[in-house]
Amino acid sequence: MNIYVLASISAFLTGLFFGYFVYSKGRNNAKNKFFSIGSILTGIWCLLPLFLVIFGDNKKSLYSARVIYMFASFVPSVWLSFMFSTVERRNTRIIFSSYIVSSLFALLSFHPLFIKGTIKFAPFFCVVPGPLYFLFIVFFTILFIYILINFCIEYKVSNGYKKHQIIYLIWAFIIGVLGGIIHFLAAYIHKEPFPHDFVVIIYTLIVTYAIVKYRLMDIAVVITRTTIFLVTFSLVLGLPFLFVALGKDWLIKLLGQNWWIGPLILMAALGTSGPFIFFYVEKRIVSILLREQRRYQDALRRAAVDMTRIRNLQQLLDFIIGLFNNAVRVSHSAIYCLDSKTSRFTLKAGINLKNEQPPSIDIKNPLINWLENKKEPLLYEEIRHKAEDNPDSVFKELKEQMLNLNATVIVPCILEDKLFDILILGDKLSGKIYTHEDLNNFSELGREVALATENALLYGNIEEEVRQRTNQLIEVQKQLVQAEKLATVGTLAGGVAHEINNPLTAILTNVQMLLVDAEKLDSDSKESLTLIEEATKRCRTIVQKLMTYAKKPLESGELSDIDVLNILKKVISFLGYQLEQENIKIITEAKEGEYLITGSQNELEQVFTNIILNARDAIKKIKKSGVISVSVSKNNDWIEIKIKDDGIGIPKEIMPKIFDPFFTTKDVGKGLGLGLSICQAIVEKHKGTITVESELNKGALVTVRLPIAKAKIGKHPQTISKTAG
Amino acid sequence: MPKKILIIDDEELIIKSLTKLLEKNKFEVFVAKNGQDALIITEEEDIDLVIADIRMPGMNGVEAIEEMQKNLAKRNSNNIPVIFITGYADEEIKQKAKALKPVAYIYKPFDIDELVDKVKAVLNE
Repeated sequence: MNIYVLASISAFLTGLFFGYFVYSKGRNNAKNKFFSIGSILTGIWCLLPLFLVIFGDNKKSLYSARVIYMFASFVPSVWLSFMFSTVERRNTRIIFSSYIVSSLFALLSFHPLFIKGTIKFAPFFCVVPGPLYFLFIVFFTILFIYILINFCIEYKVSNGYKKHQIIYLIWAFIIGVLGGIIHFLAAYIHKEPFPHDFVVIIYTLIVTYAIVKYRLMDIAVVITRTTIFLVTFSLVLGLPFLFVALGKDWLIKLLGQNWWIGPLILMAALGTSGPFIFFYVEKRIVSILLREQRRYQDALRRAAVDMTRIRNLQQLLDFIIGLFNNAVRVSHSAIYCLDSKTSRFTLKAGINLKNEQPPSIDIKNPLINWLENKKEPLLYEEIRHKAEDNPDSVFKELKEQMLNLNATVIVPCILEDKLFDILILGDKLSGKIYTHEDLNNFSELGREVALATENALLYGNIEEEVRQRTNQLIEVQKQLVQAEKLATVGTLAGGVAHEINNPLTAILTNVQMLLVDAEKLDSDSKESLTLIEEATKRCRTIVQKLMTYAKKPLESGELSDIDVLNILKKVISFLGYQLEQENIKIITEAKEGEYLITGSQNELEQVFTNIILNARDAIKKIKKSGVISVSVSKNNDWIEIKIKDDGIGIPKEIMPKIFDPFFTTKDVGKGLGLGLSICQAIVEKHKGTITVESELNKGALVTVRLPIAKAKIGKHPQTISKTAG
Repeated sequence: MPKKILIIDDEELIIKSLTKLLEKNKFEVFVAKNGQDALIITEEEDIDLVIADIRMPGMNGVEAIEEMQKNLAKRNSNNIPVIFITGYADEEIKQKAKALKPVAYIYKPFDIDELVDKVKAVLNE
C-alpha cells in the first residue's frame, strides 16, 4: 500500500466518523447537519486515489472516478450552506445557484468534457481533466473564497466565543483550499509532492474541534506550539539528512565504508535531545509570545499563596474579587459565599455589579447542584450551545440561571466535595474569550479560594466562639461580683441588725412606756416622745429591709402556690389611689387564666410594689402624668411579668449598677438604694430572674420571670378567651 | 403574789428596759446575764415565765432553755413557758428555738403592747 492510498482511506474514514460524530452532538442544528454531509462528501472525494489504485488503468477506474466526482460536485455547495448556518445568515439566491451549478457538474461528471479519463504515474493515479474540469476548479475556488470572505466579515462583527470559533474555521478553510489546490494541480502537472488527503484530515479535525468544543484553546497558543513543534523536529530530523547531502564525500573520505555511522550518531543524538530542545524552545518562545496570558496566570498563582493568609472572611472575598478583576480584567465579578445558617449562597463581594444582581442563590438551585457534581467551571457560551442542541435538557435551566447571575463564567470553589464559594465573572474587557487554559487555571484557583475561605470561616468561628465565651465569662463574673456584693451586704446586714436592734428595742420600750403615762406630761414633751417613737419605728423598718436583704432562703412555712395576677391586682389596688392622685395611669394586661407560682406572697408583693413605685418616680422626674403598663403572660415554663413606664429611663452608664445595694439616683433621704437589689434577692430566691431594659428619656421595662408552679405545668390549659384589665 | 418572770439577756439596755416595763406591769423580775445564771435561778425560784434572748456569748438562749427544760424534767417540775426575743438569728438556730415550743417568738424592736399582751395572756392575767 502506498502512502497516497493510506491518506485516502484515512481521510475517508475521518470524514465519515467525524461527520456522524458532529451530527450526533446536535441533530437539530443545521450547522452540524451541513458539516456532517460536507465532511462525508469530502471523504468520498478523497477515496479517488484508492479506487484508481484498486482498479488500475482501465474502464472501472474511470467509472469510479466519475461517480466520485458526482458526489464531489456538491462539496463546495454543502460547505457554503455550512458557512451560512454558522454565521447565522442566509442568501437563498446564492445557495440555490450554487446547488444548480453543483447538480450540473454532477451530471457532467459522466461526460468526457468534464473527465476525460484516468492516468497512472507510479505510484500515483489521477484523473485526466476535460475542458470543463477547469470550470469546476473556478467554481470550487470562487465558492471557497466567498466562504472565507464571509467568515472574515463574521470574525470582525462577532465577539467572544463566536469570534474564536470563526478564526478556527478560517484557518481550517485556508488549509482546505490548500488541499483542493494540490488536488487540482496534480491533475495538470501529474505530480503530487504531498498526499493532499492528509490536509483534508487536518481540515476536518479543525472544523470538528471548532464546532464541538466550546472551550477552544487559544488559537495563538495552538499555532505557536504547532510551529515550534514542526520547526524543532524538522531541524532534529532534517539536520542528519542535510549532513549526508552536503558532506557525504567528506564522510566517505573520513570513515570509508562506515561513513553512515556519522549521520546515525548525529540522528541518535538529536533524536534523544529533540524532546528536550522542543520543551526548552517552546517554554521560551511561549513565554515571550504569550506574555499577557502568563502575566495574569502568574498573578493568580502568586495571589493564591497570599489568600490563605487572610483571616477575615470579608477581607478575603474582597481580595479575591479584586484579584480577578485586576489579573483577568473582566467587565464585572462577584463572589457568593455559603451561609450555612440560611442554606443559601450569599453575595459577599463584587465589582461593577448591576443592580439586579441576585443577592443570594438557594442551595437547591440546579446550578449549585451541577457545580457540586461536576466540580468544573461553567462557561455561558458552552451552556447556551448545549441548551440549543438539547432543548429539553438541564442546560436550558442552567443557561437561565447563568443569565440571571450575569455570568460569563462561573467558577465553583470546592474543597473535599464541599462547595464553599461561587465566583461569577463577566466578559473579558479585551473582548477575548475564556479559553480552555483559562478555565483550567480558574478550576485550580477555585480550590485555593475554597481552602482560604474554609480557613477564614474556621478562624471566624473560633473568634466568634472566643467572643461568646468571653462575654459569658464577663457575664458570669458580673454575677459573681454581684453575688459577692449581696453576700457581703447580707452578712453585714445580719450583724448590723443585731447590734442596732438592741438599742432600738431599749429606745422603743422606754419611749412607749413614757407615752403610756403621757397624761402626766406637757404637750411638747408628749410630741417629742411621739417623734422619737416614730423615728425609732422608721429605723426598725430600715433594719427589717436590711434583714430581708440578708439572703435567707425561703422557709417552707412561707411557701405556697400563689397566683401572680392576684398579687399584682392587690398591689395595684393598694397603690392605685396614690398613683391616681399623681396623675399616673396604670394599665394591666393579662389573658384570663391561672398564673400560679410557688413562693412567698409577702415578698413578691414587696417586689412589685417596689418596681411600680420606681416607675412612678421615673415618670415624675420628667412629667406631670404618665402611664405604667403591667402585663402578665406565660412563656413555656415561665410566668413573665413586664412593668413598663414612660419615664426618664436609665442612663446607659449606670445600668450595670442598678442592682447594686445602696445604689440610688434618688435624692438623699428619698431612698436607701436597696429597692432593686432587694427585688433581685427575692426574685432569685424564687429561682426567677429580673432584667431591666431602658433608653434614656423613653422609659424603662422591668421583666420579672418566675417559674410556673411545678405541679401545675401542663395541667391547666391556658384559656385565651378574653382580656382582663 | 406577783408572777415571777426571768429575763435572760446579755444586753444591759434590754435588761433595764424590760425590767422597768415588767415591773411597771406588776411582775416580779429576775435577771440572768447568761445561761448558767439562768439555770441557777430557775432551780432556786419558781419562775412563771422566761423571756430569753437567743444570741448571747457562751451558752446561747436556746441552749440555756434546753438545759433548763431538761433540769425541770429531772425534777418532775412543771415546764416553764418561754418567750424568745431576738434581733436576728440564722435559720438553723431559729429552727432549734422553735423546736422548744416557745409560747411566742418576738422580733426586736417590738412594741411594748405586743410583749405585755403576750405575757399577760400566758400568765392568765
